[in-house]
Amino acid sequence: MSWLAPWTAFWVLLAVIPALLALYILRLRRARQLVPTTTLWTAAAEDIQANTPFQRLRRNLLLLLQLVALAMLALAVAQPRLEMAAGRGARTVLLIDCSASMQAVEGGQTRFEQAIEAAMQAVDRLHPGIWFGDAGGQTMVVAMGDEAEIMQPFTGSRGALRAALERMEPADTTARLDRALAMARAWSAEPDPDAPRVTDGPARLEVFTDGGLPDLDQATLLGAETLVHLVGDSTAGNRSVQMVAAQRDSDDPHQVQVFATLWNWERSPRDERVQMSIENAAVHVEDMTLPAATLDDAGEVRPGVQDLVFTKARHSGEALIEVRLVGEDALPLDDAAWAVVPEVAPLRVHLVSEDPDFWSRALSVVPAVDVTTSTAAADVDLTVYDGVSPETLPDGPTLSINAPFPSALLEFGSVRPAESVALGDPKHPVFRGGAPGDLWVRAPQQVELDTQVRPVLRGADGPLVLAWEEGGHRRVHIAFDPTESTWPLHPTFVSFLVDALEWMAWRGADYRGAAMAGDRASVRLPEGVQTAIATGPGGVRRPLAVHSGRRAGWGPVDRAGPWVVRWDEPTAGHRFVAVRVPVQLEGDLRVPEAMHIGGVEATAAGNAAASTPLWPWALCGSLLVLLIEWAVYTSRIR
Amino acid sequence: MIPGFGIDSSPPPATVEDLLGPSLLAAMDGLEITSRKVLSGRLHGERRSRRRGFSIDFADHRPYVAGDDLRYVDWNVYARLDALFLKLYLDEEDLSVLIVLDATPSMDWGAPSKWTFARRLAMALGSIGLAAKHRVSLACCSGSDVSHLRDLRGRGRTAELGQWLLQRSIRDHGGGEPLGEALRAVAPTRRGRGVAIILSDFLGADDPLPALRTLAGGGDDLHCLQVLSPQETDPGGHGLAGDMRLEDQEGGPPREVTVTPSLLRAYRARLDERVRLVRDAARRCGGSHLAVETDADVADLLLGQLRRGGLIR
Repeated sequence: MSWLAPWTAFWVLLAVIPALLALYILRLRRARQLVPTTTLWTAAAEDIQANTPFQRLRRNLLLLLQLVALAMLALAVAQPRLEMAAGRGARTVLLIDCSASMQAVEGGQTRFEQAIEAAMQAVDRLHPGIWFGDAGGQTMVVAMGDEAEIMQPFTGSRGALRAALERMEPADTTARLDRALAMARAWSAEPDPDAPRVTDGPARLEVFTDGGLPDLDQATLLGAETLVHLVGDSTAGNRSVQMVAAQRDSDDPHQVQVFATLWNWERSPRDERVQMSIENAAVHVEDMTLPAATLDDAGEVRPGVQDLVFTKARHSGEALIEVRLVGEDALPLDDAAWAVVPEVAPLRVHLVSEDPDFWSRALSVVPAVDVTTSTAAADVDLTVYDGVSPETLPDGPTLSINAPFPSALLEFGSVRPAESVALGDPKHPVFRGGAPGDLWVRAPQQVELDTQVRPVLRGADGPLVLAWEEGGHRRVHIAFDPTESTWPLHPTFVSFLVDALEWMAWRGADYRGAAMAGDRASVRLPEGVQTAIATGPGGVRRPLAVHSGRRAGWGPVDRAGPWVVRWDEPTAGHRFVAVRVPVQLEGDLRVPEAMHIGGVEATAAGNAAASTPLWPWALCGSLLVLLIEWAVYTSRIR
Repeated sequence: MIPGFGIDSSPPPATVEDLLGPSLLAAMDGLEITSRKVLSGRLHGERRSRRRGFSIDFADHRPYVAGDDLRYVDWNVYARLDALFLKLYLDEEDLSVLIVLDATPSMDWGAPSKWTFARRLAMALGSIGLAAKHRVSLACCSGSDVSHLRDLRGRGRTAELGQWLLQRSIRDHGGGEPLGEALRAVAPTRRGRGVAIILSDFLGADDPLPALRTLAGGGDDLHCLQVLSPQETDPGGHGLAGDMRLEDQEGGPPREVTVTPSLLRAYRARLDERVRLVRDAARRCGGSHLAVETDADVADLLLGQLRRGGLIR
């Protein structure tokens, strides 16, 4: 609240209140009237005046009411203004950051709770009720997670808005402002078919966040008035388990090797104790010092990274592995990460080739793979067609090489000239270990692609490696003969084999714990399983439908931690799926001093310039008190 | 000061005719002051007495005894019975009428003035008494300050009565209980019993009963005529309103009041209480009470309320 003329009000009070008191202190000048006798006249107590110029100030309700009325008049003269009234009467979208960093605890309260509290105050400000001029504004509440969710469409009901805010919960994902803005715009622009209305420009935006939004540069406000409520404390310290990986030893699959990467977001080194558990039993505890975070030239924080390789542990069955930081920090959510290793069982690959030597040797590089060339092979996990075209689309994952593949999504043409340029898609899982950037290829196939087929490696004249899903199975096609290229000499060839087998068929792919909160998780289930239930941290349950290819998925996953997928038929079993926090996006708990959205600096909540004058209310209050005073006076003189 | 409130702008009576106009004189013709008590007078008059006397009204016979006036022997009875009997007639005696006139300052108020009205009423009652050959006495009192006009008799004293009343004036009484002091001063000067008429506003703070008992204790037939002005009985209706400083005509402490309807209601209740107190005191002394307002016509008053009250016949 601000005052435009406080000193004027002060001088008014100084002049008027003593004058009013003087009226009560000084004797009333009365007309003289002669009467036969005064004994019959009953004198009211307050009408008896001492025979002096002054009288004692008595307790008087009328005086009190007049003082209150004068005080309210002086208040009106001071012209108070309520600065919280920004946006009243307009359409406003409240965007609440529900990302993982909002679970940071500061002063016994999470940032999310602070944001909800601020949003509640905003709702009270925007919808103070009809007595204080609701002005017909409408407000919508949007939860900003990895996906945006409308918690409350546009409404003028304060109760509905508060209820929507109370329903909200933080997620373990990151938050995407652009998706929330897109949804808010869609709801703003699309009139209700039952009650069409003319929209008058973009709705106001009020963003409640700690500033940890990864897509601030990509988001565009399109001229919308934006108010940012920043919550959180930049001094909050955080350490994270960024990643946990586990694999079986290639020589002794019963040995499990666990790797972890620890990040320190603070500007000073931190001593930490790290505990590794398998199946909830602590196996190793390591004390270490995490290096301090640094600032790069752009002012961005680069966390102090400490890689950790735990001593091998012996465990033959499927194992859920947890790596946890024992010490306390502001964000406990990212202090643990999980990985899953499958039970000891090799991947069965059927190689169909006229000359299987090369591919037998190449596939043998991949750990835990059994390659067979027998034509009677059955119940295999993957079939490799090397220079051989199957007659029909095989029922199972396939890796086809340099031969027409009977896919409805591919159309093979003539042979192309040799190419020496390749461009890989590093985002695709088959090139997770790296895509070749410079490759010589002899006589690649000419292939026309359907849009469902993704060219993950391109040459100058066309695709070289394709990945797609068809017939319920994942498939990869190499449109050239690798033996007549430089690729086998390139390190990415081996990593491609590993990644491609993982992506297509290897059971280990289902256990890698690669799922990240906000992504879709999937698991490959045994033959014959039709339904399963995924149970996440906190007892969250998701029923799963098993698709062809024995895979079942759900998501986006909003809870980080170990999920368990259970099934009862044909025989009861379970699989773990480890979901981790997107630490690289949510681990940095710094709160920016100002937020730039799409290059435009958003107005901070404390600088909201709009305000509502309160003097009419003070004036009305004064008149009301005067009415009461008049009523009291009238009741006395009747 | 509210213009005209309680102030009589008409000139005060200066002659006897002003006090007793022709119309009032005509209305008084044939009227007589009566007493509800049978009282004995001191002189022969025109009022029938319980005693045997010399009027023309036959009362009884009694045997003649030596020394009786032979003029009253009933010779017709002697002729028949051969015995001497005297004819007895009802005697006619005079009636002592005392008119007490309140001359305290509170009477000098009202429009019409209570003092003028009281003097006119006293003049009328006195004239009726004189015409009936009653023995009329007047006392003008203000506290213990009493002036008397005693034992007037006969119509010829009417002018003297009028002059005496014209010469009376309002006088301060110095506080205290003016009515009680006045009646205690008048009572010892009373000769014989008769009719006592008090003309006053009875607005003192004191209880009127002891004072009235002082006068009624001598056996007088007491009549209290409480004279009030219209401004007293309805001050709000005559313009009294607002913040006022009320000053007491009798010299009492002033009152500073805000005249409101509620205050006027309270005043009226206290006035009614005062009138009721005087009425009860008069009745407890065997007398009568009548409250009259000064805007009433004296002739109508004589022929109406006073006749019905038994004071006038």
